Amino acid sequence: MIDRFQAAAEAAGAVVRRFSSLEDAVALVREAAGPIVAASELPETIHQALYPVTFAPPEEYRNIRTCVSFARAGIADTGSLLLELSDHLERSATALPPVHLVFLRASAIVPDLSALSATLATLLSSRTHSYLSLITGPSRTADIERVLTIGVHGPKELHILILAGE
Amino acid sequence: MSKKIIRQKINNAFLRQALAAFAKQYPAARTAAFEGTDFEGLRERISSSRKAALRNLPDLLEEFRTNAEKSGATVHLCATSQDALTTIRDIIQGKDVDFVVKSKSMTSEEIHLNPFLEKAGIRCLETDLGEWIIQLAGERPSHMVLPAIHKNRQEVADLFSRETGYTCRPDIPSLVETARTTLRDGFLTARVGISGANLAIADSGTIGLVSNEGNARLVTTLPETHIALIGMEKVVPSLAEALDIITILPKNATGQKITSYVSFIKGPSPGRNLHIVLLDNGRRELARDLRFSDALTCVKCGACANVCPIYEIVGGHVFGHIYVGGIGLVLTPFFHGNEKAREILGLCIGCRRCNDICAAKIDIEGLILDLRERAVKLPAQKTLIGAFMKNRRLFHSALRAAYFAQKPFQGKDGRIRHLPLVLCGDTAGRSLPPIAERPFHDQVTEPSPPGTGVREKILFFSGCLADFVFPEICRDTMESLEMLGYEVAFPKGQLCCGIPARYAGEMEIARDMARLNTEILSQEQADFVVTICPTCTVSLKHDFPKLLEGDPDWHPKSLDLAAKVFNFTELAAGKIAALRKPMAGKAVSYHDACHLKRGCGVYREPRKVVEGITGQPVVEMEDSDACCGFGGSYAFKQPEISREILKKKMAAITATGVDTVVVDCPGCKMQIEGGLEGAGSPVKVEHSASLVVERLRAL
Repeated sequence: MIDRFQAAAEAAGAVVRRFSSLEDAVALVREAAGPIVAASELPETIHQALYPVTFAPPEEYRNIRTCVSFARAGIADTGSLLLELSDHLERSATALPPVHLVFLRASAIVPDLSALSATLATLLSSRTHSYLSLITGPSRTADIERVLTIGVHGPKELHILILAGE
Repeated sequence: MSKKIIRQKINNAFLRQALAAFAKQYPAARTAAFEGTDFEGLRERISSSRKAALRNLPDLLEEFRTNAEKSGATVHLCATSQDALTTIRDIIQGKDVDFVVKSKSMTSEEIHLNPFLEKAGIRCLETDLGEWIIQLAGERPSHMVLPAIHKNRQEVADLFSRETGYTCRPDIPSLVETARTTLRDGFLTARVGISGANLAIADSGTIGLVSNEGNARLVTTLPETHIALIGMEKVVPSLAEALDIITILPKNATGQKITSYVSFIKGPSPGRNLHIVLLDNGRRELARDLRFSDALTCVKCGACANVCPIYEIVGGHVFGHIYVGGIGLVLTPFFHGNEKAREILGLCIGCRRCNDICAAKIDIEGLILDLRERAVKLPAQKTLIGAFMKNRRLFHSALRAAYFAQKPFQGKDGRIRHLPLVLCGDTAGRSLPPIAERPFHDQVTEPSPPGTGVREKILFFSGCLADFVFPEICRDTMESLEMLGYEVAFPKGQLCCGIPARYAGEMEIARDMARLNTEILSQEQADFVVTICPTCTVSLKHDFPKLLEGDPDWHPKSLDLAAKVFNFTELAAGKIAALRKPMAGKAVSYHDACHLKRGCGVYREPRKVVEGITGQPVVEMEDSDACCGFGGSYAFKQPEISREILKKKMAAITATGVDTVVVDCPGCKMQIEGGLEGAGSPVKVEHSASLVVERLRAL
């Protein structure tokens, strides 16, 4: 299923890497992302592991190159990620910077959209606000002469870091 | 629609090339996207869930409103465009701002939101790349999903240069980057964002948006107030129905498995505002309409435009009003009035490609035909058509008059190059066969013999075109069926099948024709009724029972008749296989008539006939089931469009290298043969019955 996810995500233009440990993944992020990142929805373990990377305040998001975030699930069929982004500041962190790095636990990959329907329904059943995004590959357009062009308004690069053991 | 505008579109080289390239690339991309998905099952489910939702619309809207408001949104139900416009204006002015960012919304085009807000002193910035381009150009979308498909990179570069004050090169990646950097400021400064939505989910009060560029996420995230404008028909009961639509929409729209972004939004973020404006504008009434409510099950994927041969030639600025493509023709009278609809309803050629691909399985072509009755009918037309069609003698004498009148126009080979009278119009580049001196009907003298009871008996229904223009095909049909072991009779009382009346929106006349023909064809005992015109087959088999529904006497009889109606190839295929004779002949190509393949689901049988009788596999042409451009009177009402469609068909035929192309429709024969002859091509067009009789005689 991880192979299928990777193939579909790559077909949609994402860069996929697999890591056997969180440390390896984090090392890559530290190296690739630079000293400051916009972060969204990171579990505490990943947040701490990223040290000494500095997290930018929301007013800086427009000038930051990289966002680091965490997906609740992946869809093997389409290579999509499910992000729960109910905080609008965290959401803008995933929408403004040109590079988006997303951690995904291998165990959270499901075969197709319908397999995710119970999760989605639960997330939408709360009485409070919620904003869920399914993200597949980088931002794209074919509006000029139908020529596929990557990176219009959203991230130009989407990197998926699969945590294989988790 | 004025001929001048149509001609401009036909002569717009970039538009033609862009639409043709899309039409060519789309089917393969779509097929790949649907790999592993049961399209028919999925659209069947969508069709029934959408219909059920419309029946239950008031309750679903109430449920949606309650749940959306529980999670903090404000819901506005707006009965008219004007209500929606003033509601949106008031929300914006209440925030004391004069600038908003927008992501794509067809509903906002429907109510002309931008010009209204501009008049109120509010600047709207479209942020979808295609929408921004056409906003800068002062135009409207020409495709529901690809709004600026009619603009080339040079035009875009000129627009961007004018807007930014920098010189923009006609280089697509750099133009896209210009849009990113120029629009970024708008996202960051706007305090109100307006979006559309693809879905409203009742049981959680959630709205769903699909997009590729990422602008919809910015519009719904950065400004403190988000206004979502949604046509109220988009409400679905629960997530399950929403996921079906999300699954089918991008695949049908652009051949993508899924869009880059699918967002589910329930309520506003803490401290922020979400206003959901649900637009009626005729939808509640349409949802209750027994005949046309299916139009509202549309999921707005735009696939009906993607496969439409007319759209491919003239684009969405001609083929549609605000909503374009086949469904655009259907929605226009309801959202924008009969006046706008009258101009465009006649542009459909009736090939039914849209029906085959529609994500909600809407009978788009059928709705267009029925709308012609409602919206297009001219009072004077009725008496004329009725008088001609119901009275064979009158119809006949008019065509006889046409026969004599055409004499001076015939070339040496008897073909007409300048059409007189009934078939007048621009036929340049096409020769047309003349009306026969003696129609087939007049050549049949002997009354049909009583059945011997040994052979199965067929009643032959010729159809008008074959009767008056191709009597030889009628003879070939009867002879070949007899050679194949049937007993064949031609009931002389038979009339026109009534399709021309239905196409002209004259349902009462079509109903009369159905009744009269049912009576005539029921007088003689027979096992089968055989047609050689697919449009007649559709009429007898499918339309008669529909037209006579509710008539206690004639409906059962029309059903009995329908069960006996077959196209020539359906009966011939089995018999030819049973001949078990070695056949040898030159390989031929085959053109699928629209109404045979998509109207009757018959496309295997003709190939069995051709392969059986020639002993060779069919040399398939590209898009063998693409329309030839005939469409009955269409070829004469819209000669230029018809000719452009024909050119594509002729190129496909020529590319096969065969010397004969076989058809099962006298209309296709007339159109393709005329085109090939006009172009000086040696390729012959034969009806399958003629091919069969020729080869059987030679045995």
